[in-house]
Amino acid sequence: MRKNYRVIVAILFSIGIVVFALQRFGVFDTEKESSINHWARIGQTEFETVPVASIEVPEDSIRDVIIQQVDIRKRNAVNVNDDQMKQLVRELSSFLYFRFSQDSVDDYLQWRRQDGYHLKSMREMIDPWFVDDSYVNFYKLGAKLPEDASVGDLFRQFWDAERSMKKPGDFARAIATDSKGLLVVPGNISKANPTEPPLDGIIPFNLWYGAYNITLRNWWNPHHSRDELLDKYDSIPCASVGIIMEFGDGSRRPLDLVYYYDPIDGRWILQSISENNFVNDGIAGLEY
Amino acid sequence: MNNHSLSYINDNHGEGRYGIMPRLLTVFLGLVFLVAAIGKALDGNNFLAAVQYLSPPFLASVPAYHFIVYALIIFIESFFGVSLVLARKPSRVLLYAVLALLVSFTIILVRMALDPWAPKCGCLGLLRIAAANDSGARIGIVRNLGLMVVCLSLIWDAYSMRKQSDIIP
Repeated sequence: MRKNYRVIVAILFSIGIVVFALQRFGVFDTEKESSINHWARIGQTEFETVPVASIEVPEDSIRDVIIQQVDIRKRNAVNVNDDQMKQLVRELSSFLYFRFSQDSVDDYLQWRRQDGYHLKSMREMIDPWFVDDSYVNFYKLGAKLPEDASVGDLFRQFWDAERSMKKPGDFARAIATDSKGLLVVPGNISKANPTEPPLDGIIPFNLWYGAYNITLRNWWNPHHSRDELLDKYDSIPCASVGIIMEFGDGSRRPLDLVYYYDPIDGRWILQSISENNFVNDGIAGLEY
Repeated sequence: MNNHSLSYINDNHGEGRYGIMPRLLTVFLGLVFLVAAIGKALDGNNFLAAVQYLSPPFLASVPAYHFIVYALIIFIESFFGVSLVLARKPSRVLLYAVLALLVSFTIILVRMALDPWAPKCGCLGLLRIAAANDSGARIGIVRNLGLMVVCLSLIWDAYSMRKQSDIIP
């Protein structure tokens, strides 16, 4: 019997560690929760450890923080040079400033146009982006989308409506200020392999994405589309950018911005933005 | 109690003296497993991400499955760790089980190393959170190969002691 005490000690110790580990994730909580809430809760706990600062600061300040703190996870095989990375950081900080830090819709529209984008047509905005439905049911701007509405005017209306909804959870107010919450994963995409690299840094990929995400409404077409470039080039650089942002209700959510590089114009193109791993409680569209 | 019974942790076969070097290697091996288990218990997010990555698609979004695997691996590592640290002379059953676990982990790491977008393995939990993704799996493979050599040397040692014991009248 004495010889078995080591087995008993090993089993008891192991059970203790397992219970400790599972308890840290709230596995023994009696309240049942969906997998969406489950990952959102674990994610929220993790995101709360990320230092953040107000986003209402000059563009230079955002750029400085990103340059100093961004965690760049470049794999060996990825062909993205340092100049392109610096350009991406500049592009990203300008986007964050114009979209979240300042209030002027005209400045935002002007910056996007200067950056080589043009607004989509109304037809593109209705299908697949259902602006007609959002006009009536989400922003409640009228009974029907006016037939003569221009995309630019509609964007202005949505921009203002978003700000007047006054739901604290709808407004980004702070941005991560260290490498845990500022992640860039460069990669290469080709026709054969068009998948962008997943976000996976100090915060692991399952929390960057969670079980729920929404794709934000993109109002712009670039000078050269991704498909057009992939027809022309064997492979082009791309990057997944992850940023932890804090919203007005105190919740923190990862934004996942996907860029690809246009070798013709020599600039990064913002392809999509999604907001991930949060409990869906009727969030605003965050038009961009 | 029969002196020749094979307990799980201590090998009573052979009466040869267990040398200081094998003893140190056994404790070292045990400590590595303990560190891995405790590291995962303190910060299991990366390991859970790896579990999700390796899950079959129909289980990829089932948290219960991830936590069962998580708990099981921590339990096995912790059990092996404590068993090796406490063993005066580890049994061959224990050493073979440890070797099998290391081989399994290494195969998984090779699979992850071959995928440029694989997440970090989260092998040591809290202790390796900052490892670059692609180098992380490679470092893990080298580490596991080293541990396998240690484990094989202990198995070899156990057999050679058995032989000595058989020869000595």
